[in-house]
Amino acid sequence: MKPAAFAYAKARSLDHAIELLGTREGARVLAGGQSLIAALNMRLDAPPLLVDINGVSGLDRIERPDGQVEIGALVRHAQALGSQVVARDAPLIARALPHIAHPAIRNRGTVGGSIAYADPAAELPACLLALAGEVDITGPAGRRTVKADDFFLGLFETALGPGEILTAIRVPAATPQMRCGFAELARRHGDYALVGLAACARADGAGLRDSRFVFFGVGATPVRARKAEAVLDARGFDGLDEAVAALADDLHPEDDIHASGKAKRHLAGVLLRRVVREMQDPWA
Amino acid sequence: MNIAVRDDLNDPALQKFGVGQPVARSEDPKLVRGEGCYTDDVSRPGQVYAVMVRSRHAHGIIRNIDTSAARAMPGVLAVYTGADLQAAGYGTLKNILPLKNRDGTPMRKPPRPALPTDKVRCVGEPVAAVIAETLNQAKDAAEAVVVDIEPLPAVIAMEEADTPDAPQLYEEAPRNIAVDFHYGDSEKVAAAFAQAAHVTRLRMVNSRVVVSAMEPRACIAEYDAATGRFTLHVGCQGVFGMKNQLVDVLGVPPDKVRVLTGNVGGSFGMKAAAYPEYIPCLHAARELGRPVRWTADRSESFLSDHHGRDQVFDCELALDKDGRFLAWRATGYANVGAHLGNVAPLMGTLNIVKNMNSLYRTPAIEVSTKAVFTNTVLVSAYRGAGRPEGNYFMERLIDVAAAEMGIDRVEIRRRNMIQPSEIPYTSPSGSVYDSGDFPGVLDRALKAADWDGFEQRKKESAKRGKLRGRGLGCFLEVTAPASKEMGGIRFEPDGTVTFITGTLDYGQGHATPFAQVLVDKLGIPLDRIRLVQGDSDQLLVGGGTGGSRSGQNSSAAAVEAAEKVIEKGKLIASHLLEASAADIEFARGRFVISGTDRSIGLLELAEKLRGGMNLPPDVPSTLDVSHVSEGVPSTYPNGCHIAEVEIDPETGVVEVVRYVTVNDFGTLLNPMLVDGQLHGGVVQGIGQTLGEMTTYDADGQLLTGSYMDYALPRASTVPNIEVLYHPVPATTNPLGVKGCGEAGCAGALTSMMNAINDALAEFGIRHFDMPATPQRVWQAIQEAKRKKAA
Repeated sequence: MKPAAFAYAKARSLDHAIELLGTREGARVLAGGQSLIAALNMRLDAPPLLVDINGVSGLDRIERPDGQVEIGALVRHAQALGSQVVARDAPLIARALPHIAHPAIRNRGTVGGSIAYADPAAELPACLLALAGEVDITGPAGRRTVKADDFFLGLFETALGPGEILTAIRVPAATPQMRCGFAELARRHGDYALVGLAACARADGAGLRDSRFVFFGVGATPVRARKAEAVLDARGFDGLDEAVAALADDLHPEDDIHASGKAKRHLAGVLLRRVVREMQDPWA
Repeated sequence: MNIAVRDDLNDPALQKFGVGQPVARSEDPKLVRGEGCYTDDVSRPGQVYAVMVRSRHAHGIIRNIDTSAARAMPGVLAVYTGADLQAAGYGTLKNILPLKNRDGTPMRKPPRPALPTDKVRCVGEPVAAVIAETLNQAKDAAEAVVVDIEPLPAVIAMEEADTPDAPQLYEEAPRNIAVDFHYGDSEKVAAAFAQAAHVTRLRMVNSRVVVSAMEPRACIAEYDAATGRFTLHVGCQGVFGMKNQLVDVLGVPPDKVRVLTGNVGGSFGMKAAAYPEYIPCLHAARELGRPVRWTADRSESFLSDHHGRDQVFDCELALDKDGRFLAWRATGYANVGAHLGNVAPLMGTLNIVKNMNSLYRTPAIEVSTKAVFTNTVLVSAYRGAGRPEGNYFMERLIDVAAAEMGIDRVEIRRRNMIQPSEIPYTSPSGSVYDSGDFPGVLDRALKAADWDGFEQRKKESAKRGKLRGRGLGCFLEVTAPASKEMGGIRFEPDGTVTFITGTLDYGQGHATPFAQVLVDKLGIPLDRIRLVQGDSDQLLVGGGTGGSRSGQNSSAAAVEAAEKVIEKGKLIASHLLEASAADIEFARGRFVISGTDRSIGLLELAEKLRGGMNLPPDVPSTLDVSHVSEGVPSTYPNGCHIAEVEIDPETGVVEVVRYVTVNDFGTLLNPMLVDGQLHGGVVQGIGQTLGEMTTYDADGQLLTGSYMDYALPRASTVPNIEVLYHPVPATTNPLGVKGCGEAGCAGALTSMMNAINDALAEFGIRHFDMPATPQRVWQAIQEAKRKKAA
C-alpha cells in the first residue's frame, strides 16, 4: 500500500493504549496523524503497529486548574483556536495557533501530537518552553510530569520513553504582569517556520524579568536564547541591540535549502526586535 | 471592451449567449460537484494496476534489473523492463522539432526507449513497471525490484554540461549539446553594435519550474485482441496528436490506436507528450489481456512530469544616442534535461527568436542557443514555452538600458514601439504583425495603474519600513503557426448539436466559447450544443491545444463548418420550401425564402431529415459536416502589465500590492473566460518570480520534491488582479481572435521582476535574478550593502 504495511489497533482507554503499545517494539501512537501519516506514506517511517488513541475519552478537554491552563493531548488545534480559555489565559498559544498549517490540518492535528512529535520548526513546542510549561506522561510505570525545560532532548527526540503517552500539557495562566510575543517567518503563511520566536516575560516597571525567548526552526529543538534573555532582564529595552548581538552565542542555525544559517540568525534578530517592541508596548 | 458592431443585438439569444458575452462555463456545475470524469475516475472491468520503479540515481549504468522477487509476490502479474519492451519491438519516443545546428547538421536526437536499457539519466526515470491485481500489491512489489546501477558522476547545471570534463549523458552528444542553434545575420548585428552609442549587457536566468498540474498524470491502457486495437484513456492536450505519437511508438497502423480523454486537471504544455509510462501499460494490456491503469502520485509528478523554463542568456541591446534600438543579441543555454522531450528545445530557440523582439522596432537580431542535456528531469513546454522567457529578457534589458542612459523607462518604450501606422509590420524574425495599438495599450495601463501616483505610495510604504517598486512589462506573443484543425458539426437524434474539434480543453473551458460561436453563426440555442474533443476516433485531424492556438483555430473551424451547414441547409430547404436555393437566406437560425414569411428553422430541418425525407440525389441528405480547416496564421496578442511590490528589507519578503494588466486579445469570444486565463497566467508568473525554486543537489537529487519545499503561490500570495482590454481584432482569422492562454505569464514575469529590481535599485543593485525568495532578496541586499561599504 502507500505506506509500508503496519498493524492497527484502536485503544479503548488510556490503560488499553499503554497495554497495546507494549505489545510491539516500535509501536507508535496515532493521534491527529498530520505528521505521522505523511511520513508513513512517503515510507520515511515504518512502525509495525499504530495505536489509535482517538477513541480514548478524557484527553480532549481544555481545563483551568488553579493558576494554570491544561490542554488535553487530543485537543485539536482548531478546538484550541476557538477556545475562550486559551484566548484569555494562554494568549501566547492563541497567537501561535493560526501559524500552524491550514484549517484542514488544524481540524485534525492535535496539541499533544505536535508537542510529542517535537518538530524543531513547529510552533507549540516553542510556546510550551517559553511559558515554562509542563507535560503529563502516562506509561507502564505510571504517571509522571516533566517540565518543558527537560522535555525536548534532540531532533524529534523527547523525554517520552517507550510505551509512554503524552496526555496533557499545562502552562501558567496569564497574569496582568505577563507579557508575551510571537512572530514567525515562513516561506508562505502556514509553512514550517524559517525562523520563529515565542516569548514570555514578566513586566517590571519599564523592564522585563524572567524572560524566556524561545526560537524555533534554528536548531534540533526549540532553543532558549539565554544570553539575550539575560541582557534583556538586566538592561531592559535599552539592551535590545546588545540582546540581538547576543544571539550570535545563543543560536547556531544550520543552512537549509530555504535559508542559510547566517540568514536565519539575522532573521532571529529581526524577530527579537519586533517581539520585544511588541512586549514593550502590547497595546500599540 | 470592443465588440464588433453587429446588427443583431436585438436578438436576446445573441445578447446573452453570442460571441463576446460572459457566459458561464457549462462544465462548472459538474466539476465543482466532483462529478467530472478525469482519467483516474475511469474504471474498466478487470482492470489491474501498474506502478513504476524509478531510478534513484541521477546518472548510472544499468547493470542488472532483478525482477524475480517482485514477480513472486502476491497478486503480481508481470514486471516489465526496457529489455521486454525492446524484445516486443516497440519504437522510441520522438522529438518532433526539425532544428539544425549552426553548421547545418541536424539536432542530435538520441533514441529514447520508454524504459532505458543502457543507462539512467535522471532521478525518477522509470526503469521497470510492475503490474498487479491491486495497487497496493503493485507498490509493495515495486519495492522488491532490485535495480543494480553503477553510478556515474552527474551534471546538473547547464553551463557545466558544456565543458570538456563534464559527465556526458550520450555518446553521440559531445559536451552534452543537443543542438547548437543559431538565428540571425551575425554581420549585420555586429555592425549595428559597432555603431551603437550605448550597449546594455545583462545575464539573465529564467528559472526552472515544476509544472504542478492539479491532476497528476494518469492512463488506462486497453487492448482488444479480436481487432488488435489499443485504447488509451489519458489526460493530454489533443487526442489526435497523442494518437499519432503512440502509433509511432507502438509501430501499428493508425486505426489500431484510440485515445480517449475526459476532463483534464491542468497541463500547461506538460501533458502534451506521450510519456514513457504509457508504453509499458499498453504493452501489459496486450500481454495480459486486461485493462492496465497507472496514476502518478505527487512525488512521481515532481520527478517525471516535464519541468518548465530553465534558460540562462547573455543578452545585449545596442541603442543609438536617443535610445532607439539598433539590434539585440541573445546568447545562452536552454536545459533540456535527461532526454529530449517532444518539443524541446523550442522554448529556448525558435520561440526566443520569434518573441523576444516583442512590440518594438529592432532591425537586427541574433540568437545563439546551446540546448544541453543534464541529469535532471526533462524540460519542455510550460505556459508560453519561450514566449514569457523572450519577453522577459527584452523588458529587463530595456529597464536597465533606460537607467544606464538616463531615459525614462516609459519614454524609451514609447520611442521604440511599433506605431499603429506601421502595421502590418514585418518583424526581423519574419512574423507579420497584422494588428495592434501598442501605444494605446501602454497609455491605458499607465492610467489604470496610476503610474504617476507612485511616488506618493512609495513614501507611504517607506513610512512602514518597506521598499516599494513598480514594474512595467509590455509583451507581445507570437502564437502557434497555422495547422489543420477539425470543425465537425453533427445533428444528433436527440435534437442536440455536437461540435467536434481537435483542440483540447484541459481546464480552459472550451465548450462554452465554441458553442457561443455556433449560437452566433447558426442560431442554435446554447444549451443544445455539445463539444466532442476527447475521442480520436471522431477526429479527421486535430492540432491539439498549445501555443495559445485553440480559440483562434477552433473558432475559425467552427465558422467555416457553420458556413458549410448553411450551404447544405439551403439546398435542402429549397427542396422543402419549393424555392430556388438562390432565393433562400439564412438568418438567426432559419432558412427563409427571401421576401416571404415562409421559412424553416435549422433544427426543425434537422429533425425532418432524421424523420426521413424523400430527397433528389443532388440534394444533401444530412446537415452534418466534417470540415477540415487549414488553420489560421499566428496571432499577436499583446499587452502591458504593471506590478507594484513592497519588500521588507529586514527579511527579504516580497509582497505584490498592486497588479494591473491591459491586453489586446482581439475579439474576445467570452471575456469571463479570458479574465480567468489572465488570472491563472499572472498567478503562475508571480509564483515563478517569488517562490517557486526548483533545487537539485550536486548528485542530482531533487531537493524540492514536495509542496513543503516547493513554494507554489497560495491565495494569500496573490493580489487583486485588475484585467482590462484594449482590443484590436486580428485580421487573419474570421472572428478576429488572438490567443490569450499564455499571455498572463508573458506579462507577469516581466512586470514582477522589473518591480522587484526597481525596489532593489535603492541599494545599487543593477539586476537581480528570479526567483525573489526572501533568502535570495535578503542575500542580495546584504551583498549590495557590503559592496557599498567596501
